[in-house]
Amino acid sequence: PKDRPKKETKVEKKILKKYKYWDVPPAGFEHITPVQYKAMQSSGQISQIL
Amino acid sequence: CSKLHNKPTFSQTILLKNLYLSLENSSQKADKSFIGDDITEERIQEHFDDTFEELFVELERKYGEIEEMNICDNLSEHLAGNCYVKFRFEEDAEKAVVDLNNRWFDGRAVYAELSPVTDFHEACCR
Repeated sequence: PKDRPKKETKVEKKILKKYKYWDVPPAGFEHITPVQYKAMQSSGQISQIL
Repeated sequence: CSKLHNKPTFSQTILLKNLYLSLENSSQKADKSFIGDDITEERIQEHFDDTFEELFVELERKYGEIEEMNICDNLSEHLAGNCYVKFRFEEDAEKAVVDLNNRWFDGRAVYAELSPVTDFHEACCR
Protein backbone atom coordinates (compact mmCIF):
# COMPACT_ATOMS: atom_id res chain seq x y z
CA PRO A 1 0.00 0.00 0.00
CA LYS A 2 1.08 3.52 -0.71
CA ASP A 3 2.34 5.58 2.10
CA ARG A 4 -0.34 7.92 3.09
CA PRO A 5 0.53 11.20 4.58
CA LYS A 6 0.19 11.02 8.30
CA LYS A 7 -3.13 12.15 9.42
CA GLU A 8 -2.91 15.24 11.45
CA THR A 9 -4.21 14.24 14.77
CA LYS A 10 -3.12 17.26 16.62
CA VAL A 11 -5.27 20.17 15.76
CA GLU A 12 -3.38 22.93 17.37
CA LYS A 13 -5.88 25.12 18.89
CA LYS A 14 -4.67 28.60 19.18
CA ILE A 15 -5.80 29.82 22.48
CA LEU A 16 -6.32 33.50 22.22
CA LYS A 17 -4.60 34.92 25.21
CA LYS A 18 -6.38 37.71 26.89
CA TYR A 19 -4.43 40.89 26.42
CA LYS A 20 -2.92 42.65 29.39
CA TYR A 21 -2.35 46.00 27.73
CA TRP A 22 -4.56 46.47 24.69
CA ASP A 23 -7.70 48.54 25.16
CA VAL A 24 -7.01 49.25 28.82
CA PRO A 25 -8.16 52.82 29.48
CA PRO A 26 -6.64 55.04 32.15
CA ALA A 27 -8.37 54.62 35.51
CA GLY A 28 -11.27 57.00 35.78
CA PHE A 29 -11.55 57.59 32.04
CA GLU A 30 -13.39 54.44 31.05
CA HIS A 31 -16.42 56.42 29.92
CA ILE A 32 -14.68 58.56 27.29
CA THR A 33 -12.99 57.71 24.01
CA PRO A 34 -9.24 57.91 23.38
CA VAL A 35 -9.93 60.76 20.96
CA GLN A 36 -11.77 62.74 23.63
CA TYR A 37 -8.98 61.96 26.08
CA LYS A 38 -6.32 63.28 23.71
CA ALA A 39 -8.35 66.43 23.14
CA MET A 40 -8.36 66.94 26.91
CA GLN A 41 -4.60 66.41 26.97
CA SER A 42 -3.98 68.94 24.24
CA SER A 43 -6.23 71.52 25.87
CA GLY A 44 -4.31 71.08 29.12
CA GLN A 45 -7.20 69.67 31.15
CA ILE A 46 -5.20 66.55 31.91
CA SER A 47 -1.47 65.97 31.83
CA GLN A 48 0.40 64.99 28.68
CA ILE A 49 1.54 61.48 27.98
CA LEU A 50 3.67 60.20 30.88
CA CYS B 1 12.65 67.40 18.81
CA SER B 2 13.86 70.66 17.35
CA LYS B 3 14.28 69.27 13.85
CA LEU B 4 11.67 69.72 11.21
CA HIS B 5 9.89 66.46 10.59
CA ASN B 6 7.79 66.10 7.50
CA LYS B 7 5.01 63.63 7.92
CA PRO B 8 4.53 61.50 4.84
CA THR B 9 1.18 61.01 3.15
CA PHE B 10 1.94 57.40 2.32
CA SER B 11 4.23 55.05 4.16
CA GLN B 12 4.57 51.43 5.14
CA THR B 13 5.83 52.52 8.52
CA ILE B 14 3.86 53.86 11.43
CA LEU B 15 5.01 55.51 14.62
CA LEU B 16 3.28 54.92 17.93
CA LYS B 17 4.53 57.75 20.10
CA ASN B 18 5.78 57.09 23.63
CA LEU B 19 3.91 53.82 23.64
CA TYR B 20 6.16 51.74 25.82
CA LEU B 21 6.70 52.85 29.38
CA SER B 22 9.65 50.84 30.59
CA LEU B 23 9.51 49.32 34.01
CA GLU B 24 13.09 50.48 34.33
CA ASN B 25 12.38 54.13 33.62
CA SER B 26 9.28 54.26 35.72
CA SER B 27 10.82 52.66 38.77
CA GLN B 28 14.47 53.58 38.81
CA LYS B 29 15.94 56.03 41.27
CA ALA B 30 18.67 58.53 40.46
CA ASP B 31 21.36 56.19 41.82
CA LYS B 32 20.20 53.49 39.38
CA SER B 33 18.78 51.30 42.10
CA PHE B 34 15.15 50.30 41.83
CA ILE B 35 12.27 51.51 43.94
CA GLY B 36 10.73 48.10 44.53
CA ASP B 37 12.81 45.11 45.64
CA ASP B 38 10.94 42.88 43.26
CA ILE B 39 12.13 44.75 40.20
CA THR B 40 15.07 42.96 38.65
CA GLU B 41 16.75 42.94 35.25
CA GLU B 42 14.82 39.77 34.48
CA ARG B 43 11.50 41.35 35.29
CA ILE B 44 12.28 44.37 33.15
CA GLN B 45 13.16 42.11 30.23
CA GLU B 46 10.07 40.00 30.79
CA HIS B 47 7.86 43.08 30.89
CA PHE B 48 9.41 44.31 27.65
CA ASP B 49 9.03 40.93 25.95
CA ASP B 50 5.39 40.68 27.01
CA THR B 51 4.61 44.13 25.73
CA PHE B 52 6.45 43.55 22.45
CA GLU B 53 4.66 40.26 21.86
CA GLU B 54 1.25 41.63 22.66
CA LEU B 55 1.79 44.59 20.35
CA PHE B 56 3.11 42.49 17.50
CA VAL B 57 0.42 39.82 17.71
CA GLU B 58 -2.48 42.24 17.79
CA LEU B 59 -1.08 44.60 15.12
CA GLU B 60 -0.47 41.76 12.70
CA ARG B 61 -3.78 40.05 13.47
CA LYS B 62 -5.85 43.16 13.05
CA TYR B 63 -4.06 45.28 10.45
CA GLY B 64 -1.79 43.09 8.33
CA GLU B 65 1.59 41.53 7.85
CA ILE B 66 4.47 43.22 9.64
CA GLU B 67 7.97 43.33 8.18
CA GLU B 68 9.75 44.88 11.11
CA MET B 69 8.99 46.33 14.49
CA ASN B 70 11.18 48.31 16.86
CA ILE B 71 10.73 49.93 20.22
CA CYS B 72 13.10 52.79 21.06
CA ASP B 73 15.39 52.45 24.01
CA ASN B 74 16.22 56.16 23.93
CA LEU B 75 15.37 58.24 26.93
CA SER B 76 14.78 61.68 25.45
CA GLU B 77 11.18 62.74 25.75
CA HIS B 78 10.27 62.65 22.07
CA LEU B 79 11.76 59.19 21.56
CA ALA B 80 11.12 57.36 24.81
CA GLY B 81 9.13 54.23 24.18
CA ASN B 82 8.45 55.12 20.57
CA CYS B 83 7.36 52.10 18.63
CA TYR B 84 7.98 51.87 14.86
CA VAL B 85 6.09 49.28 12.89
CA LYS B 86 6.82 48.60 9.25
CA PHE B 87 3.96 46.87 7.48
CA ARG B 88 4.30 45.01 4.22
CA PHE B 89 1.59 47.13 2.63
CA GLU B 90 0.97 50.86 2.76
CA GLU B 91 -2.79 50.33 2.97
CA ASP B 92 -2.37 48.35 6.18
CA ALA B 93 -0.27 51.08 7.71
CA GLU B 94 -2.86 53.69 6.82
CA LYS B 95 -5.68 51.59 8.21
CA ALA B 96 -3.70 50.96 11.39
CA VAL B 97 -3.05 54.64 12.05
CA VAL B 98 -6.73 55.55 11.75
CA ASP B 99 -7.90 52.73 13.98
CA LEU B 100 -5.10 52.93 16.57
CA ASN B 101 -5.81 56.58 17.27
CA ASN B 102 -9.09 55.29 18.66
CA ARG B 103 -7.58 52.76 21.02
CA TRP B 104 -6.03 52.55 24.47
CA PHE B 105 -2.84 50.76 25.36
CA ASP B 106 -1.74 50.11 28.92
CA GLY B 107 -3.81 52.89 30.42
CA ARG B 108 -2.86 55.50 27.83
CA ALA B 109 -4.30 56.81 24.59
CA VAL B 110 -2.40 55.65 21.50
CA TYR B 111 -0.83 58.39 19.39
CA ALA B 112 -0.32 56.95 15.90
CA GLU B 113 1.00 58.57 12.73
CA LEU B 114 2.73 57.61 9.50
CA SER B 115 6.52 57.73 9.71
CA PRO B 116 9.07 58.36 6.94
CA VAL B 117 11.44 55.72 8.34
CA THR B 118 11.94 52.78 6.00
CA ASP B 119 15.38 51.58 6.96
CA PHE B 120 15.81 51.32 10.72
CA HIS B 121 19.59 51.13 10.52
CA GLU B 122 19.70 54.50 8.85
CA ALA B 123 17.12 56.09 11.09
CA CYS B 124 18.03 59.25 12.90
CA CYS B 125 16.53 62.70 13.30
CA ARG B 126 17.22 64.92 10.34
